[in-house]
Formats: sequence, structure tokens, C-alpha cells
Amino acid sequence: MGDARTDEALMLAYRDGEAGAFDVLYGRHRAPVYRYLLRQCAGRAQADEVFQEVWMAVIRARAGYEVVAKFTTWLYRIAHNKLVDHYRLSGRIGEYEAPMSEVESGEAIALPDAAAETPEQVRLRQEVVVRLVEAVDALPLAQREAFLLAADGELSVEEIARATGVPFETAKSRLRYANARLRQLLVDLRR
Amino acid sequence: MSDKDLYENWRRAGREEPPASLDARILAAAHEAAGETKNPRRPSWIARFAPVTVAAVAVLGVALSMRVADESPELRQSLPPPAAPAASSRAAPAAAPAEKTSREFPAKAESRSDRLLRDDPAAASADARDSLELRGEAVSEAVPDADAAVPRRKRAAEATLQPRAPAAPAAKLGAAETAEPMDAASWLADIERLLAVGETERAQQSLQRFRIAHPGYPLPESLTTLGTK
Repeated sequence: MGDARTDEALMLAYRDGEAGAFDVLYGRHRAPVYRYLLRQCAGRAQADEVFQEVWMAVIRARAGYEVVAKFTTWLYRIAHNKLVDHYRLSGRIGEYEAPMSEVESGEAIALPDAAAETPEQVRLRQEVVVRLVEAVDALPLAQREAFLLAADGELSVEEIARATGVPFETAKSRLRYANARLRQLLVDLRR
Repeated sequence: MSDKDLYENWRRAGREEPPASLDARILAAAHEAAGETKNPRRPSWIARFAPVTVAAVAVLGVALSMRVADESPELRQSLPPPAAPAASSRAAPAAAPAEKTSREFPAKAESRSDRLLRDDPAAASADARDSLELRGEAVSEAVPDADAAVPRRKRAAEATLQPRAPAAPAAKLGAAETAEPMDAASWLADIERLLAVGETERAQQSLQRFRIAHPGYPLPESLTTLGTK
């Protein structure tokens, strides 16, 4: 039976010495955080490294933790900072800070439900997954991050702005452009 | 297609997870840190040396207070003069009047620490300090430090041997016109002499000072009435 406590309550419990609270928190967020990093790091080894740094930072910061924002905003803020450090070390920081370009938006298709798939649909779903991942990987870093924070981290635009340390309008633009590009991809696949 | 649908598609597509070894490492670190939060780890050397440190501080504190009391004239004034009859008879066997007085007016019973101090000053001070500390009492002048005790006794004996010296005793007692002796018996003899030559007022004043210096010391019959005048 899952723990009904909020992320924030769990983090406070962990701060006060309840190790089990961390297990629950980690279980909730390990996969989304990992995907968020994997899609932005150059490879799995780097993603593993940054992932570990993120959670170690959470552990180290436990003593001073106070609820001033959603836990996920705080968590992804740490992840964002570690990622920027990674970009700096790997010489990709210029790529992350590159200005955005305009993208057209369009109609898109939804991925088929895996439970009721025909062989053709299975093939299509697999292709969509591959292309979607490629498309996300092809996004400019800042847009990709905004998309991943919204899709994997389930953050709102305001929370994305906080996590990445940019103004609300900047976060909103990044997310809008990212979504538009991906929608375009899905439209192309349907044709 | 809404943004929400897009995100749903993305989540369905994503299957990557961190390796189990990484999970284990992070969870182990988290549990270790939580243990530290619950039971903040104290370096073992602190636990080992804490009692020694406390004892050392206590001994230093006592030694310091002894030294201050010994060297501060104001503090010395507030203390009873060290030339008690018993001490003077011990320290100066050649001082005949003192011995005589000791026999005539038996000194109050020696305390355990006094006896020990006579036999072994170092053992006495340690023993008495221990007993006071065990009772939770402040260790003060009553329990002299071994190093400090010997010179103080020596000074007391010297003072007894030179009762007419113009130094400390009179100044301590506030007797401006007479150098009253440190030795109780000699002092009483002086008072009796003053009384015999008709210096009753001076004899009374001297007796008042004597009582301050030697509270509880038995007075000879010749002076008991003077004290009540």
C-alpha cells in the first residue's frame, strides 16, 4: 500500500530522520528524473552520473529543507543546475543558451493504446516512439528541458520558470515552441 | 492534439529507468544520512576523553581560585588568619608560648583533612577535594591545593615566630596603634597587660579585634568580663 503523504511531507519526514520517507520519494520520482536527464545528457553514463549527483544533492540538502515551493520544483531545480554544470563541463553550454527559432504548429496523432493494438498499430507505435524520442532529442536544449519538465516532471509553466531560473514568459515560449515542433512531427507521421 | 495528450504520449513512450546498482547506491547513502540525523555521530575521542577533560578543568579551576585567594590581600583579609594555635604549635615547636597556649586552651578537634595535611599535604588535598566533589560542593579555600598549602603553612609559621613584626597581622585586623600578635595566646597576654596597666578601653578594642580574628577561641577568666563591658 502506497504512502498517501505529499512529496513535501515525505521530504520533511526524511529531514527529521525517517529514512523510509526517502524511499517513497525516490520511488515516485526516480524514473521521470532519470528520463529528464537521459534525454539531455550525451549518453547513459553521463546521465547516470548526473542522476546520482542530483539525488546526493537532495540528501545533502535535507537538513535545511523547508517547504517554500512544490517538492518537484525544488527537485528539478537541483537537476537543472546539475545539468547546466554538465553542459559546462562538456562544452555544450552555448548550445543550451542558443536563442529559439520559430516553428510551425500543426495537427498531430496520438499514440495507440498498447492494450488493444493490431500488428500494424504495434509497428506504428514503435515507430512513433522512436521518432518522438528522436524529435525530442533534436529540440534545442532549453526547449527540450522545458518539454521534459512538463511531460516527465509534470511541472506547470510557472514551476518550469522557477526550476530553470528564467522569467515566466521565457519558460512559456520555450514550452510552446517545443510542443509545436513535436506536434508537427506526429502530424508528419500520420501522413 | 492538446499539450496534455502530447505529454501522455511521451510518458507512454518512455521506458528508461536508472540501473538497479545506482538505485542501491543512492538509497544506501540516503539511509546512512538519515541515521546521522537521528543519532548525530559524536567522534569517539570526545566520549573517551570527556570525563578526563572535566576533571582537568575542575582541578585547574580549584588551583586558580587557590592562587587568587592566596595572592589577593582583599580576599586574605576576609579569611581567618592562618595562624591557628594548632598550626603554630606544629610548625614552630620552638615557639614556647604557642605550645603553652595550645595546652592551656585546647584547639578545636582536628578535621580529617587537617590530619592528613599534616602527614601528607598532597594526599590530604586530593582526598578532601574528592569528597567535596562527590557531594557536589564547591571546592574552595577549605581544601587547599597541595602545592599551595605548604608555602602558606610555612608563612603562617614564620608569622608566628615573629609575632611583633610590623607586617600583616595588625594591618589585617585594622589595629593601627598596636602590632597585635598573630598568636592567640600572646595576643591575649597583651590584652591582659593592657588591662593590668589600666588601659581598659584599648584592651576592650583589642579584645574585639581578637574575637574577630579568633572566633570561638576560649578566653581566660580575667578577660571574660571585659568582653561583656
